[in-house]
Amino acid sequence: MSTVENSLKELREQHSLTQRALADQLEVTRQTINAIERNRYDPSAELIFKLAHFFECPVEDIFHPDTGLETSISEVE
Amino acid sequence: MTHLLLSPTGVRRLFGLAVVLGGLALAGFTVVGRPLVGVSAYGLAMIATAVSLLQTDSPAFDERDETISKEAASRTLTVFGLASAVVFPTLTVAWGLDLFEWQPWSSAIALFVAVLFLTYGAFVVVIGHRR
Repeated sequence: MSTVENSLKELREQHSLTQRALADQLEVTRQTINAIERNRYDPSAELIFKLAHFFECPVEDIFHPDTGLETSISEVE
Repeated sequence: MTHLLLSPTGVRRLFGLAVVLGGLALAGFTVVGRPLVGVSAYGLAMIATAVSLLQTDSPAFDERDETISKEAASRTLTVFGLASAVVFPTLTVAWGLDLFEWQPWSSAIALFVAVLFLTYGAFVVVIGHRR
């Protein structure tokens, strides 16, 4: 299970893209887009930045640490 | 040359099918005493896997497949490691007590596992030096 939740599905639907179309744009498989949307796969840093570049938004607009990770980040800070 | 374009999902299925059929053919024909037929069938299946990857314009495999493969490899090593940590010392003790006799097949498995972990250890050292 992913430790980082995301808004990829919402963003993709706002842009009227199918999973396959987005996958083709990012040169990954449709299964990978589906797994990210279902929080079952943490993408690589490269793919995270590709997504941010494609949707022209900061990474934080797509990916959000879940509550447990936010707690550990604030503990580090 | 005409390309039969398939969806990436179709290519993934074709690739998986070719790998499974190739492995089964190699094992099956070898068991029934036709190893050359088995190797030929396996070779054809491997060619089919390579050709299948050319049948789509989109990537059929990506970073997620690599991650899955790495996790599967890691779990396989763990299972073999745990099994060999218990099984082979036990068999060696049994052999020392004349309760077990090493056969060619059991020696081959023990040697295979030893080579597997020597290879793993070598890669740990090499990759560790690079990073």
